[in-house]
Amino acid sequence: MLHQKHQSAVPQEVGHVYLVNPVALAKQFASILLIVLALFLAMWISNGSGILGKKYQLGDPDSTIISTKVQLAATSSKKRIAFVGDSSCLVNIHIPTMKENGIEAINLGTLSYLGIDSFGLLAQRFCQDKPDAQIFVVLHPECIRMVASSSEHRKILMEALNQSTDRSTPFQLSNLRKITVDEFSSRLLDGWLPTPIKGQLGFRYGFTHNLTDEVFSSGGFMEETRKFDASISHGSSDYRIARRIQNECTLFRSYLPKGIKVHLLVSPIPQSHATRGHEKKVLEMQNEIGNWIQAENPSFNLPTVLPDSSFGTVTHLLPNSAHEYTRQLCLMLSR
Amino acid sequence: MIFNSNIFILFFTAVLLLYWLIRNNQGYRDWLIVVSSFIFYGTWDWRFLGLLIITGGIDFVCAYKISINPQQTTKKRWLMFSIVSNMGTLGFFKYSGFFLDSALHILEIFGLQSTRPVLAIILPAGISFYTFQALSYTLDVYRGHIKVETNPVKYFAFLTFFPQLVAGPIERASFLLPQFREKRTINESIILRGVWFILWGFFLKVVIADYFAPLVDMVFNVKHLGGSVNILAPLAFGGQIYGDFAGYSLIAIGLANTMGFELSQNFSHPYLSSNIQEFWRRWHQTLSTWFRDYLYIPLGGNRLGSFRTFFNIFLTFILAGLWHGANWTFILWGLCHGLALGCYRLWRTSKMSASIRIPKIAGWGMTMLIVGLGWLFFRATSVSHAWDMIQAVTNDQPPSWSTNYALAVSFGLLAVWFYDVFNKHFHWERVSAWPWLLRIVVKSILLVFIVARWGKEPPSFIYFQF
Repeated sequence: MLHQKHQSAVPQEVGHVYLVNPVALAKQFASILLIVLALFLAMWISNGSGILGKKYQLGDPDSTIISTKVQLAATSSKKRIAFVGDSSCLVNIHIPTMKENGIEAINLGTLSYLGIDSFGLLAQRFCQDKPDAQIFVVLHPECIRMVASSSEHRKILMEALNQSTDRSTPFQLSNLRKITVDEFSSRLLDGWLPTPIKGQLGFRYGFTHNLTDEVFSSGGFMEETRKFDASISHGSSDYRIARRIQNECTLFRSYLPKGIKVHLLVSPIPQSHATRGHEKKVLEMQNEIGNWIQAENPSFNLPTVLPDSSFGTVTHLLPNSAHEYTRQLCLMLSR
Repeated sequence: MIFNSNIFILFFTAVLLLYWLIRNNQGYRDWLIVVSSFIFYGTWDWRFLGLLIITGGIDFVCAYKISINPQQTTKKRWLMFSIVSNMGTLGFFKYSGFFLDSALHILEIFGLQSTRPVLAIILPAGISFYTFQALSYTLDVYRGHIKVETNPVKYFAFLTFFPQLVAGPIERASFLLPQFREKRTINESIILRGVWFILWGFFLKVVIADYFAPLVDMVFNVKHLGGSVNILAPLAFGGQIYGDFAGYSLIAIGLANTMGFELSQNFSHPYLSSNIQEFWRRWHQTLSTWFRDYLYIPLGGNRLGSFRTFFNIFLTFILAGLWHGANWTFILWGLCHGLALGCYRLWRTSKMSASIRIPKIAGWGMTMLIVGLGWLFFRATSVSHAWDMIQAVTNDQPPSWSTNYALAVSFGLLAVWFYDVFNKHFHWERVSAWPWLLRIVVKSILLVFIVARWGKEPPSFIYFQF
């Protein structure tokens, strides 16, 4: 009733009037857009001019890990042994333990998303001017069965490897934000302003700068901070070799200079994940992949299954277990 | 649908286009605002649209009954009905779990074991904001400050106006409702002002608040981090919540401006305040004036002597704390501010204040210390969490990254301070007198910052949880 009474009076009333010169307003907005585009262009030019700082690969943990490993590979001229591989290599191979046992090595383990051929590029960087270098490839069964690697991560690695040239990225409209503001702010700020790492890793390492420093000082080793919980980890334990692996292995080997010795290690899995015959399956994997990467024989007799309490995740050992696992590896190496 | 998402930008563009098309009909304009507000609210949880309509409808009827009844007792009865329905709804959805839990906890302290019922009630988005706005409408009609609205479409356009529906500014009916009753004029000046506010709002949210967010989480979400990070994290949270909430308010004001409406200012450089009273004149202004006008002054304000003034301040702040959330941490936050403001007033009225002059910088430092302590309680998940953090300052080992933490937080706080200084000296009236090119350049730089920090998965606004 109230509504009807009111409605009869209102509909004819004007709601709002625009006292605007549309051309003048459009000019204002067009000017803003033009200046923004000009600023983008200026940023892109200054990125390539070298007047700003160098291009950092920081910003997120994955990029930080990858770029740190590239730097580590390029600067470890005295080391002759390098471990490359997925994240199980990164957190299971405890370099300080190796040092304690008189073995000088570095851990160039990164992330499974990169793919085995990318590990080869890192190994290639390490092997420059080192004809007597030895490469240990550390792969987790989870990585071996992964269907595809990530092109994004591969791009990060390629950028980190080509950083010595430090050119700005070629102009692409689809990548406008990345090649202008992202790169500009990275060059301007990343050198001195710490970037916090999000999530669990951030609680341990804090900032990308700290992650870089700590990974560098520990020879490439990184700590796992989570605790493995079998009840919430329901992944399949049917491990097999993905199709892509053979091709990636061939590429891996092709990146390495002739005469470089390559060894293969398959990382352990938690007891609750292991099916009967897991050890036999690992042996088959070692033979097949070892063949593709032309690995040395014999393979190392390291445990393929460990108690759940040793793990932070299905693929990562806790620091104490990593220490013990590496100690066993050192014993084998010194034989 | 949140302001800092691509979907909202599309939604608002569509609304603006329709708004322009129906400009010759006020009835259609109000309908468009109501429908788009319902769509906006429905994207949070469409089930609570019914609640919004029912509680809003009750207030509409109550206000009408108040206006047509000549007898004071009947008016009072309808007012009470409105207050009870609003507070009852708020109490049920927001506080029932908290009070039930607290009561059972007290019983357990006295050795009376009880089985705790599971009470999982979803909190409707913006309930604290729209119930307060609706309540101010009936209260103002009762007090005769405003004429009753008989058109439900206009009334709901006022109550659910989407730019400020879920997180304010909490508008008074006497300010916003008359704007729906008249023709609005949209000229170049109001559009440019709106765009200026929108850009600064997004800057505060995506550049400032989202910069602080991971810094805050990395300390508040972990136990046993020692050292200075426990002092810096609440300060960082102060930066985050300011960027987040002031940003939201500015975007809301800017959006309303582009539709020809004016909303109230909610923040005016609060972190430059040199005493706690000044801080509360500058922080969340629409809420503090709401509490002042509808609670503190009716309680007697400062007219009934020092003790009663202290008590009134204290009670107002405890309730303001509770308004934010059903947790003892919010009550402690309110206590902290109430105590500080009460003490400040006692000091100011004492003879000592005439002889001892506190330098402005010391006053600013003390104010920021109190505000920082308040943020510790506000952000902590429980009282014991806050206490653990206080103890950890000296008891636990500082993390290896504490130096970087100090650097990152200081950089952010400096940015907040610069923003407040800029905001103090260059308010819109002054900016509008700037040369055309300078204004355009500043807007463009703001836009570049926003583009640089615009995320694919935008984090929500903190005040949406209240």
